[in-house]
Amino acid sequence: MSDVFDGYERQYCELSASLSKKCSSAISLDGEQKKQKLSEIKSGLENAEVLIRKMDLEARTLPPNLKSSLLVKLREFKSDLNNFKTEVKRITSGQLNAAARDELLEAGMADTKTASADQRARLMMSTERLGRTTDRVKDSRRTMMETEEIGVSILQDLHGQRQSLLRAHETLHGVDDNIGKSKKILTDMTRRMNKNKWTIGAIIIALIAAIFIILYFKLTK
Amino acid sequence: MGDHLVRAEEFEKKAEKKLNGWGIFGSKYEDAADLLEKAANSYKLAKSWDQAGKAYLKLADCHLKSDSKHDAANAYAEAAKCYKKVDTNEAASCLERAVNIFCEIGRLNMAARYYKEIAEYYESDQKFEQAIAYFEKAAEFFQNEEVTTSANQCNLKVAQYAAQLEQYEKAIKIYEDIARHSLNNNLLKYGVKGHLLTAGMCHLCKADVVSITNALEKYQDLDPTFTGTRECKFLADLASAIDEEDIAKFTDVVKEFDSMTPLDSWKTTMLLRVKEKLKAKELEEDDLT
Repeated sequence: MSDVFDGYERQYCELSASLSKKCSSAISLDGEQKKQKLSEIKSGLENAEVLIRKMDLEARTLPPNLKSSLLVKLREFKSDLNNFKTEVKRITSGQLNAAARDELLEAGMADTKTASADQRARLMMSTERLGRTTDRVKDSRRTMMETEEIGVSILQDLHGQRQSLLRAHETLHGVDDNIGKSKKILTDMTRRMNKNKWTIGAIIIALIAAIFIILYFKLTK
Repeated sequence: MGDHLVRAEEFEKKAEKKLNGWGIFGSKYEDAADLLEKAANSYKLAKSWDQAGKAYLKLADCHLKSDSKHDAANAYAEAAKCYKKVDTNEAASCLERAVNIFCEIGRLNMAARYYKEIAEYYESDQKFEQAIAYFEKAAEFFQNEEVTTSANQCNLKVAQYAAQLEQYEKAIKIYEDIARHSLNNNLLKYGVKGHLLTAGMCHLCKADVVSITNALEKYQDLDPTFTGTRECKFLADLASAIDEEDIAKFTDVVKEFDSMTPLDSWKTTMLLRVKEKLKAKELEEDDLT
């Protein structure tokens, strides 16, 4: 996943946490303090919007397989931001006759209901994410097992090939020895051949000489 | 194709003529061998496997008469390749003759390879007893020539089919021997747990809980790394399921293991046998009550 996106996400989470704290504290405040708190919250919301825009741009530059999961996250963040905005509106409008309004609409209970619904939604989301992670871990483990099996079979093949190579090496040594012997034999044969050549030559010369001698003696008589 | 057949028959007739005629210094067998080889090749091109096989057998006879044993053995092997397409029994008998010649001339490596090939013919014909016999011979020859990898391959086949034929003791011994041998080799030691798992499964098939427990202890002594493996846990869980005679637990354990490492057909068969035995036991107990 993109490091840049992770950075933005971290910033957004921190901002979101501080905004929720500020919102809950703003309800109990009055007058000038409340106005100050609201202006802080609004600037925080603007920052959050900027961060979401940046995350959106970053997510769209990433490859499709990562993009889809990041866009889902972004959607969650956007809905979170919208919740904050409605909360701020409620706080702002609630400045007028807050006590009477609370009494009429039982705002406290509504708040707790909203909070519990939010928590439930978050919990569901976390559970879902956990389930997905578990599946992913299982898949990874299965892949790892398959890889291990393949590795084992490759090692066995390598062992077989090693033995074949060693046998080939031994055979080559044998061939080398035989070639050495053959060379020696051929050298001996050449030597003998030359010896025989000279011997036959000598015999032929001797015979010719003998013939000439015999002829000489025959003719001189 | 018809053209090849005609040419093959011509070559064969010429070879017959050569063999029946007078040969100067015994060269007639060599000439006939050349012609028969051409005939056999033409038959092969015509896809007339039976006649090609016969031609190779005649060629082998010619080589034997001209005292070329190596060539004769190769001719028998070629005949086997041709007969393989039509009649595996004939192919096996041709290879058997080739093996005998190779043994005579001291080429035990080749003999072992052809024994393995004969075993594979019988294996493809589902004749497992004969396949086992020939795989054993091949393994023995490979072992003599110190070709341990091929010997192990043959022994593993023997063990696999022995287990299928319910000769569990034989299979267990082979798997344990191979595991023991593999432990001393850096390339083979990673396959040890696989061999021990298969040996353990053979123990399970015997349905003797004590023997399974003892075997597991022995395997953990043999290979200390086996203790922490999924295979060891799998065998231990199966053993406890058998001990408790709990089919549901047995099935769950198998399912869990299969979800990670899919079981091959042999393992599935073995585990099914164990399950059937468990079911039979359960039925017996129901009948008694």
